[in-house]
Amino acid sequence: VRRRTLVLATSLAGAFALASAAAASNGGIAPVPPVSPNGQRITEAYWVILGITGAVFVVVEATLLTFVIRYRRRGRPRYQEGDQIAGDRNLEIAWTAVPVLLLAAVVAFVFYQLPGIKNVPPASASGGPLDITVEGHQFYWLFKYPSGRESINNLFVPVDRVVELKIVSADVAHSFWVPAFGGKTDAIPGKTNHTWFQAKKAGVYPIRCAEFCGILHTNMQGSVHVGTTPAPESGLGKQAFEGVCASCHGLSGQGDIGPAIATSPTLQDPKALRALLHDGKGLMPPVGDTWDDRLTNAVIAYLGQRFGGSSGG
Amino acid sequence: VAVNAETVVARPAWYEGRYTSWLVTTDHKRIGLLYISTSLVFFVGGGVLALLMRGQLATPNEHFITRDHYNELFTIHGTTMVFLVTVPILAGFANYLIPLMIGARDVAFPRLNAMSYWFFVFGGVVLYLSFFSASGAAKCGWTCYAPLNETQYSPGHGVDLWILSLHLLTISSLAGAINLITTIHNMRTRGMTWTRLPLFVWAIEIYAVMLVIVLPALSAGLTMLLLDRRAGTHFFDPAHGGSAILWQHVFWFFGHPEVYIMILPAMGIVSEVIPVFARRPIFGYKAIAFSTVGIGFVSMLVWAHHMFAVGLPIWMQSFFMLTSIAVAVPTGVKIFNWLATTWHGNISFDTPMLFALGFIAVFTVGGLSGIFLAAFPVDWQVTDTYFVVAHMHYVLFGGSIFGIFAGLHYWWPKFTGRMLNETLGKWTFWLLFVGINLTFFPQYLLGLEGMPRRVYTYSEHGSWEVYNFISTVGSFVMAIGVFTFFLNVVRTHALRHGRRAGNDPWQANTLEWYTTSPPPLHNFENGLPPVTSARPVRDLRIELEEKGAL
Repeated sequence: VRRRTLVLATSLAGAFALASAAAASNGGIAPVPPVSPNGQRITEAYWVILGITGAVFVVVEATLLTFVIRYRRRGRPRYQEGDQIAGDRNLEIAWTAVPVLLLAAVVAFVFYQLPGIKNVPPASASGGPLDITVEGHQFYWLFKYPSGRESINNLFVPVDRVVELKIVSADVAHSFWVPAFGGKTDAIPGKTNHTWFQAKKAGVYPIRCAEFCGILHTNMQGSVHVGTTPAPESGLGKQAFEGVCASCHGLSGQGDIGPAIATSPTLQDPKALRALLHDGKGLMPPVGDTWDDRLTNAVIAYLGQRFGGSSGG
Repeated sequence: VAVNAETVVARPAWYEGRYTSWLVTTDHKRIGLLYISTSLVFFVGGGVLALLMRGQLATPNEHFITRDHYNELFTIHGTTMVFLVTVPILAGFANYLIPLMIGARDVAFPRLNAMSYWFFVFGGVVLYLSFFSASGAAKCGWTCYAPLNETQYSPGHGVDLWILSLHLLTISSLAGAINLITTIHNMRTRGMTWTRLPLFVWAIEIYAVMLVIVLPALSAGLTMLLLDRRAGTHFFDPAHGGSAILWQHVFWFFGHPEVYIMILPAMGIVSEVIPVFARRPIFGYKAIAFSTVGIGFVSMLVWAHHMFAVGLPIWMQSFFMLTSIAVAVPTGVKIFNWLATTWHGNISFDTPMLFALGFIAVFTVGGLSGIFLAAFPVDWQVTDTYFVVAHMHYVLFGGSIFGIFAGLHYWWPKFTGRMLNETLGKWTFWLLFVGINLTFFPQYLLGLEGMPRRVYTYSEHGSWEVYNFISTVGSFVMAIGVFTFFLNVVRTHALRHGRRAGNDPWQANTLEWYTTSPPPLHNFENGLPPVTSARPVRDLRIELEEKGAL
């Protein structure tokens, strides 16, 4: 019965593993395919560590299985003693020294890759680095470009251009993560962090907030658009409504965790609206406290236009 | 009224009642059982929270549980499993077994011991009652990072009650740890030298020393947070000159050693179980004892590996990578010594042994995945994802909880005088073994594919959907495994099917098996055998055999 249970359990686990591997489109044991050189180097370090730890895993589990099968009781009296050997100095030295060497190899490879991960590449043919500020907010990302333009949740960058990010937070701790570009960088209030990427392939890559930041943490997502022209500035008010207001008040202003706003008179009162965005009120955080006039005005104009003139949303 | 010092205060009759006597007991064995049973109740509570989360994540865009409640669930699940299950159940084992293993009649401070237990109960009750506060329980994660933990972002009293609960639990653990250290240092029987101590006692010694060193950091951090929230200070509020990162340093200076506080005693249990069921002496006693000390020491120098993404200087990240990776060496020494203990043995696969061998098999996966998290550039990619969730559960469930289940099945006959049923025990093991791998292995893959932790839902289909569904199935397999264990307890005791255990059902090595099961009030009524090695009961058995008395 014992062996049958074992066989059953093992085959069940194996079947599930195979099913999952088959069902996974790009899933499996590899990280998200990197499109930036720093992400590429992180992935290489990942494979080296997987190789070394995988080998250790196989050795340990194979030894365990071998010994368990080889030295099982098999008809011997239950309390008959095995060999009374209490230790071996050379073995202890060996299984201390070999792991030290393997771990030293891991450390050496990490340090070998580190400069290419950490250091921003020098200016290339496509120009010097593009400096963009990333501001984490409950619960959206605000991007500020060198031109003075801004965008919300959607970051627009050219292909193959080195982009340097300055990452800050306006309220709680967030973590800026584009899985396809490599590691996370936390956005921490009172601290300025830096990271970079160089997207080698045009496309749209998801951004996730990776540090739990409150009730809408899950919804704090965005996209990096590589090789796409930014939306025209006139769309800024719409972006802000959809990326900021709508997460709590709904895409039609119908209300969600925040109250319904579609018919609120405040939307038609620029002065009150400005104060509300800047200072917050009750449970509503001061979502626009770091906004410049242009962004604030764009939102006020959009809200007035979208929800004005009719009696309902 | 002046009381004569020689007057014996009459104790009310209920002090001796069958059930009520448990309320006033100072017997280390009864307190140990109270710790263990209370922790098991919280284990079920924390497990139900986990099942609710897995239910919510079973399919994409699920709305079975609201965002707010989901955030409460993972906060209280984490806090429960660390503070109300793993640490106190190990305290329960320590309470019950340390005096028996070292040949003492009780712990050094029996009444302090009772106080520790009751503080633990009150701490747990406060945590669970916080669900009923006006704004619900804390919803900031068990790490409760600043400044999300400040009143501005977490209004209401959920976080305040979380602080109160943890304050009570830190006092409980601190008093318990001091008690255990004093007992181990002062109350060993004649001949019980440091190199003859059972390895479980070594593990508890280090567990207790680490608690004494790191718990005050948590207490201080909690007090500062409470002052921030209710007295107008700004320790962790950057808007007023405080530091959000300071909270992370304080929390993890406690929090990472806490992980080893939870795993070392479980390793101690494994070190007791494997030799008994392989009929061999433990291989490399001194190497294992020394590696316990080594892990304990190094684990206090690794905390910032939880903070690699916060933007610490590279030299500092490099330092914490080296220390974190160094922990793998003494851990490996333990694994290899356990393997060598089974070599040329005569192995019986009773439930305690299955859990001990399962510990090696599963913990190895968790430990090895820790190397990815120690290598800081790789950590930048996988931290705060399901990769970390998988890693910590492989280590804490596959490690600590498997060790605890090994201990429960191994010492149950000593605790109660009755044997648990082997068939049900084996079902418990296989369900948990299959369940843990089904639940947590897909989570490694989810993390690699980019699923962050602490999200209440996801909209991605394809592999995310498949892995999450498998993980949910696995969690229910684990739940059935835990249920089987309780079924076994009910069958053994309530239905009275349990065989009598006798003093020493496993033909084991250490002193707790010399006395009756369960032991009498002061443990050893007929004195103790001489202790001349780490296996005094085996020595006695051999001596009696030679005399033909056995």
